[in-house]
Amino acid sequence: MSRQNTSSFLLRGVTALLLLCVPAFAQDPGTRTYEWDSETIELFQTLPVQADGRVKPMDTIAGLNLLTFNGKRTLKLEDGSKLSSAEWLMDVMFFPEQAKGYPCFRIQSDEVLTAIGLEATGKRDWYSYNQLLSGLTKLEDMGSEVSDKEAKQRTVVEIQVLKLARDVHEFNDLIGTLAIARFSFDSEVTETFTNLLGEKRPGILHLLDNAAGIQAIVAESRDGQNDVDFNGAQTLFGQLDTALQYNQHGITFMPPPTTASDQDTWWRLADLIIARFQGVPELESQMQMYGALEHLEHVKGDPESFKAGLKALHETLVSAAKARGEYGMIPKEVSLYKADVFYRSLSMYAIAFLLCAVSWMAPKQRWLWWLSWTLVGIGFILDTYGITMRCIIRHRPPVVTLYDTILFITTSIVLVGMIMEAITKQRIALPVAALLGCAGMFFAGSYEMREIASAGDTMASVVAVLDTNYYLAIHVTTIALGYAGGLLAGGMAHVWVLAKLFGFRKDQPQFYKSLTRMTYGVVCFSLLFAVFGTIMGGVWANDSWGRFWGWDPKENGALLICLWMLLILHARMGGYIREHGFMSLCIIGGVVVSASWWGVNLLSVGLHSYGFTDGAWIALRTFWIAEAVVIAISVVHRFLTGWDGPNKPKPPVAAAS
Amino acid sequence: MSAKPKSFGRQVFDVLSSFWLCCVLLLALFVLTIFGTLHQVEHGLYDAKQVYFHSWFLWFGSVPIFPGGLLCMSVLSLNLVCGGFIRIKWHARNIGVLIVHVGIVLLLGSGLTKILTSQEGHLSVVEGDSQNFFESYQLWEVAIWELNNRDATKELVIEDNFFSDLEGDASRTFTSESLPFDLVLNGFVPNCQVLPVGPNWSPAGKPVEGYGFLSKPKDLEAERNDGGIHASVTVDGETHEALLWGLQRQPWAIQVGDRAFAIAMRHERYPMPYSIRLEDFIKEEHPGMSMAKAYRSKVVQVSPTGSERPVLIQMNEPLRDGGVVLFQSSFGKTQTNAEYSVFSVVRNPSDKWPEYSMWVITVGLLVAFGRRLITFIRKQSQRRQRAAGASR
Repeated sequence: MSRQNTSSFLLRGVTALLLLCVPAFAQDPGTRTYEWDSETIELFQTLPVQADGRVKPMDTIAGLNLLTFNGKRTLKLEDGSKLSSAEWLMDVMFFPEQAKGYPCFRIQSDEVLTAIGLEATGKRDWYSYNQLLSGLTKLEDMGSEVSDKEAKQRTVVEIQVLKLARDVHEFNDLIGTLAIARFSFDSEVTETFTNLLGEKRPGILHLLDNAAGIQAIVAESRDGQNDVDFNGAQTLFGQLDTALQYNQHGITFMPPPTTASDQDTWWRLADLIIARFQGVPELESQMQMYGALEHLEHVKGDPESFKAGLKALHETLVSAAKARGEYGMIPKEVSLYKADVFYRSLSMYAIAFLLCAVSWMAPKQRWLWWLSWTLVGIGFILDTYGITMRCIIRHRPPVVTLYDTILFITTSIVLVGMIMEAITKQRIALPVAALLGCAGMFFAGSYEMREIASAGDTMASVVAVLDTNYYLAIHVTTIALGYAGGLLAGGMAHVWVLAKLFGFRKDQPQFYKSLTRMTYGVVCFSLLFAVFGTIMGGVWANDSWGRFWGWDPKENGALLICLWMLLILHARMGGYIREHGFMSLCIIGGVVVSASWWGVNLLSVGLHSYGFTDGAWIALRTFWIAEAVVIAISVVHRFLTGWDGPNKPKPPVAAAS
Repeated sequence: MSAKPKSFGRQVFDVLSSFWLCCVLLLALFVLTIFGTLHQVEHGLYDAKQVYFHSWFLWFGSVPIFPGGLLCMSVLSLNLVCGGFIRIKWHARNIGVLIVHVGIVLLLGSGLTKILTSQEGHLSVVEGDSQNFFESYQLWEVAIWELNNRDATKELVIEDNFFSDLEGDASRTFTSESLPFDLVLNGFVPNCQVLPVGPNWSPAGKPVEGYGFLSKPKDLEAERNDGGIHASVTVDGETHEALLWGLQRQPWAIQVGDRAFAIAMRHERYPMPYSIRLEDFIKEEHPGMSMAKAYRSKVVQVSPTGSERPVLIQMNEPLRDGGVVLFQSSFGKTQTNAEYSVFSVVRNPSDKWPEYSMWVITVGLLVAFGRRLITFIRKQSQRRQRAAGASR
């Protein structure tokens, strides 16, 4: 579903209509009176829908939306009970009045509430739609105002106001998805129509079933100048028009018929109504889907009937999607999100790091060490599984979006760390890998929400220039491996500096030498992939834009990594730096990687500005300052204690080698 | 016994081949890259390239304060040749490094070749139409042709570098045997607009017939600049003046006896070795979105002999033939709603060299680092064996 700029007119209109539309199903706000059974939830989760340019499960729509609104994929209600994202979306779609009472909007700053004219209630961060209701008009006005401002000029509060306005707009869209199915119209507009349509206040399905008859009356009244029927028809279509407004941006879960002009784009319910009255042929399957939905609305108070109805809808939708070859990835995607592999791997790395730390203090407890190895291994397998599944689902290489880079780089760091540990057996590389793995996955979890806010999905469609699996597979993955090497080398250098600082194994120079050799190896690894990836990027640019090198900020960022790694290696070979200098430059290397990976995107210039980077500047600046402090402390300590002995350069070497 | 003093040549060679020079140059390039990148935010890419990367020095007024990208890369190339080929020990253990250096020389060579010989521009063609030249994005030319004998091969062209330095009062006279007049150009304005002279602004240079150039700051995107220049010719003792402007639709017409000439300022044009006829432009969008999935142009390549070849040009799949490369770049619709396609065109003899250099450098790095990795693993294994022996 595209996240468009909020339109005050639309939101106000839809909000007002929704408030009027569903009094029949009004519930006590926030009180959950109905629970879905597991089979019903599973059927709902695996319904295919189309959003952001691809067919995905309803479960993904639910998860992405709830994560955006709420900051989590689950929702905690006031009574302490927890809802999964699918349960929440089912409530939103089928019991909207009830769902409006759920505290699903996370508001981090009280200033946002004040800005829209509401008062903060204690220390709570989560608010329901109903609690925001009196501030929605002001929220909408402010949202429009802020979206017109340049991104750079927005304050932190304004950014949060805009996000809340978009979230509320999206929430209204979700509620509006089935509003048409709830709609009943007045059929007794004239006697002719009453005779045709019969029953009182029927649903839209009845109208659609009689579309041909209605059009015949319209044609007849127009030709025969029968003003009564003609005006009655206008009243009828006016009601229909009102119904269509509910479904302007709802979920698209209806594959189009073979007679549709655009075969690729799925339909909303509104599209079916329009097509029906336009006389598009062969709509039987779509009418069946719509009928199933309207039936669900009628039987939603009866669990067994609802389940049977949902099963029928599921079968129809799945068979239609399968016939188009668009269902294959749905069960895989549902399993991927259910497995929650990246969060689980974070836990594995965190525990493994703690066990490593304990094993340093109790080196004879070998089981601790092997348990750490096992947990890091499991974490790596989980990450690899997650990345592989994402590749299979998208039919893309592992790295396409900025979110992908975090997953891939973190997993690569863990892999290289494990290999280093297997070779050196120094109990250094593994804990560093576990710590960086933990940090990386935490970062990925935090960033996921931002990417969804900007692109709608973490597996979103790509722009035309990126539509090449060859270059994505080679250039992007290799440059990401270069980043991974640079960050791992920086991490190892931290261990060296901190160990020196705290006098860890100070009587074992071999330990420090070994650490330096390991870090040197990682720098070489980083340089190899950074150079290959950078030049490969140039080759891609040469095929896309007609120039190998354009001094674009992202290209320059990659070049900075190559230059810095080359500088480290040449300065070491020339004898201008020794262990301390080498490690300090490696820490700066980590800073250079962070600047290349995230920093250049913040400049908002060039051909590679992508991803959602609001707030990244603060995090990046904090990281750089922290690294500067580490280096400063190590330099001061080094001069006070003379770590490397006299800082004399080695005798000049005879030749560059 | 004192060592024999080194000759001056030897000393120069030692400096040029030294590690410290290499480190200093790498650091200088690192600094230039950072500042050149930040410079783009306020001043645009073109300006950043001119100031930082395509310059010999960075200037503070008239004082050079830092080596520019060209100087750093030139000296680094010398350092690479002296240190990485001549001074380095030609030993089996250095084979990887030598291969890497060969790759880097090839890469730098491709950059130099491109700077010296390449031409870049764009070709816009409407569906059904043909085009046999491409235009520069930034560079201008002044073209003169006879109105009743318009043949591109008989056009006289004054290239950008012959007049773009004529800012202020500087002028230059251009003559040709085929022209019955001399053309004087002066007062080049890099970015301007032609407006009637009024009390609220001062034109750049001399106004002509009540119109003058309103000088504007250079745009961050250099291709958005609209240059202008004053032109004058003397026919039969009478001097005629005009403002030539890049966005002018009609050329300046001069009548000399029974011959009529047109003079116009336009982006530099480069001939293509073949014509391109656009058959169809196709834009595909992702389902339900306005995001483009693909751009494609179905074109026909028409050779000078008239033979035709259908070609599909799309993102990441350019047409490479006859020494020029055409890339799908942009598209649009004319005022009459006809679709047109825009191709970036590059004539660059070193087009594929970077790709070759990438593979050479990669092989070199793999050899160099692979050898070290094997040595490292072997030493680690020996260390563990020694430690195990000592503990027994």
